[in-house]
Amino acid sequence: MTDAPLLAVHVGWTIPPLLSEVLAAPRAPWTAVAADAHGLAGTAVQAQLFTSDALPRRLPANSAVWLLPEHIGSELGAAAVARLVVAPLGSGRVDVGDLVVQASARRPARPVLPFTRAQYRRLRGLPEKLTAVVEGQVVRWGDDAERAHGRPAHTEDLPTLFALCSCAVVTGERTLDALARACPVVTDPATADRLGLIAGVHVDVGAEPADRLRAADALNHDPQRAARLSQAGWATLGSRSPAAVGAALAGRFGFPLPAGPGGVAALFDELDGLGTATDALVRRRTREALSALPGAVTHGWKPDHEGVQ
Amino acid sequence: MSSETGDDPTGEDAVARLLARSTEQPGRDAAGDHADAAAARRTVRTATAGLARRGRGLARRTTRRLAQERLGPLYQRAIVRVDDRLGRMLRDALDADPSLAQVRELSARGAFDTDDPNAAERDHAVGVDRINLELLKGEVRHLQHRLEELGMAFAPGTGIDGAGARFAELRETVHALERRLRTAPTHQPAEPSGPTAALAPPRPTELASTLFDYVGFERRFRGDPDEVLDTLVERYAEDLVDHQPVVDVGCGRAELLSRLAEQGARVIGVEPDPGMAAEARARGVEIHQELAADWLRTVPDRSLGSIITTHVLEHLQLDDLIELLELAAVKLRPGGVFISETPNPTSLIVLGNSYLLDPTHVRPLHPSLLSFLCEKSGFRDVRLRFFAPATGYQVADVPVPTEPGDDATDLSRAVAGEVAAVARGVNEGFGRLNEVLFGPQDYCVVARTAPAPW
Repeated sequence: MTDAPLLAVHVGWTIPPLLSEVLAAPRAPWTAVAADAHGLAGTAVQAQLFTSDALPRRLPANSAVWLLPEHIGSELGAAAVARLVVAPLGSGRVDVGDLVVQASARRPARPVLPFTRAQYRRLRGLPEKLTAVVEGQVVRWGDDAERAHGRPAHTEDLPTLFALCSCAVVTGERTLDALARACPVVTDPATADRLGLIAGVHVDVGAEPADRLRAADALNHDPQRAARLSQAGWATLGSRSPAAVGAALAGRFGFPLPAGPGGVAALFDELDGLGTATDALVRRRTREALSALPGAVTHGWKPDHEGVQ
Repeated sequence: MSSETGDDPTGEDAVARLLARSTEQPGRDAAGDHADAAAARRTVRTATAGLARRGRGLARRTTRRLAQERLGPLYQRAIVRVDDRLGRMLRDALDADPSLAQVRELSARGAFDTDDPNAAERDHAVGVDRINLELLKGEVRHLQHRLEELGMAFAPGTGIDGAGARFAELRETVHALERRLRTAPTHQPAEPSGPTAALAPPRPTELASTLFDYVGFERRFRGDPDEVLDTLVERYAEDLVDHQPVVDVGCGRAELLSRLAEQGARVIGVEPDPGMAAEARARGVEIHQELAADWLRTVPDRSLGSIITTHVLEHLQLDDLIELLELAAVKLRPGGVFISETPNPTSLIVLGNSYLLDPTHVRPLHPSLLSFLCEKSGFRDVRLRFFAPATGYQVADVPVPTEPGDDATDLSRAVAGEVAAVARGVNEGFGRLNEVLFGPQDYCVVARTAPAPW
């Protein structure tokens, strides 16, 4: 840790709830040091992180501001998310809402991609357009949105429903569970606003239950759009975890991220480093493992691109 | 990237549970007749599908059993040979591929090994603790910074270290302002005229009486001048020499200042009486012939080391006294000392004799009053010292009889004890009487200004 770049952290009266999680992200490449208003005399800091409820007109280079909830106001819901404003090296430009940290952290599960979902539903004898409707503690599912209130289920079944359904109509905190399972989601505007989700990009919204069911129907008949929604929602959720925000912050500051377990794709780097022949059997096997399923309709969502964007 | 519940949500068991629960609780409340009809259709379809599944399963099982019975031995022989052949081919292929060695090397390096989960958790916990420690340090630094700002607001010169002293000074200043506010006239007095103007006491610009021979009076009644001077030098010289320049307010003929000058001190005398001032100048001492307050106003603030007044304050009107004290507190340097000796009115022999003897005395100054006035004038450290009890007037103790000898009778022992008790009681009363009537004849107040903040 001694060679890691120094990140000076300026905190005020209160420490924001998610700050320590971001700073202590597992692959955080910095050494965080406490700083006061005078900075760190005699210490060469490479970046600075301020906590403030007011956004300065101009940020020092390579610095970020952790906006306290008072500044966010009702725009995103103070309790749900925190926002980071980052000025990249040398820019000094302020762009509100660069990074968003999710308070209700959900670890994105391994996504079941649309083609695989459909195959699972066929294999398990489930409806082709399986739609789950969650209203509070009441869970129902059916073979499309119009008949979604026919079959009851327990809340314990939600992971299965979210993992396999073609669309979920869900409001409240459980929306995050659906997004974590890479499920296309229709929710209400209040939930989208509170969780910082963009209608039409991360989720579809409907003000009334009937509107939401109609939106779910539309999604069921437009699988390409449903795949785009689910991918965007799933990736956004992953990018808001403290670890992902820490990595993104390090990238903005220009700090080199330490090498970590890079998944299957990292095998190629290792093989290149070893000077493996281009026609080697092990390369062939790796390519086969990473390629999409034959005939899979993933609408551009490839299995080897499942990492957080 | 794992499931929250730990098991596979897409697995057969999970879906079976989902289906079982959906059939246990048909949703009558949410669906109407249309839903009932749909449920009936679904039930029929499910039953039909179940029958079909069971039929297909039965056919598969029957086929498998027949195949195993008839083709089993042939299949087993064939599979052994194929297995051996495949094994040899695979070994040859892998041995021929150099990348296998590289994969083994990677494995040996640990690239394929997952990290020890416990070690990773420990590292993460250590990292989190370190971050929290840094954040707390930042919070503490922020608080320190705020405290420093607060301290600088109170005491710009010294910051938080001098804030306490500065706050005390401000409090004293507020007290002084409050006092002046209370004593300030509520309206501008009109031009005095008529009988009121005649009754209004004129503010003295010099000592009230110029006809009274104060020098002669002092020579006659105050005692041997040399003895008095020795006493003053003994009491105050050391403290005064340590705080120069020394100002003697009402210095008279400046005997004390002369003695201090002999010790190398820089001395200044203030004496309004022309005769005494002339005598003092003859001794080579710097003398200002004016009232003390008038002279002190001309002196720069914080320029004097010490001020002493001996038997002067009791000659001043109350306002003049307070003004003198306030001026002294302002003109003295930080840590300067103000000494004032005056008759002790709590000793009644003083009040009834020496105090009344001097017609120029304005009012007796109780030690507590003078101490209070010094404190309110801005002095920080105010102490009282008492001198010269009137031992010549004090009533002597009656002798207390000693214990009778061993051969004394019980009666004589009892009488002696009673007499001793009475004698001790009388002596105790005499002690209190001596204290009130014949206590210390002089006292001085030693008041110091606030020390320098550095």
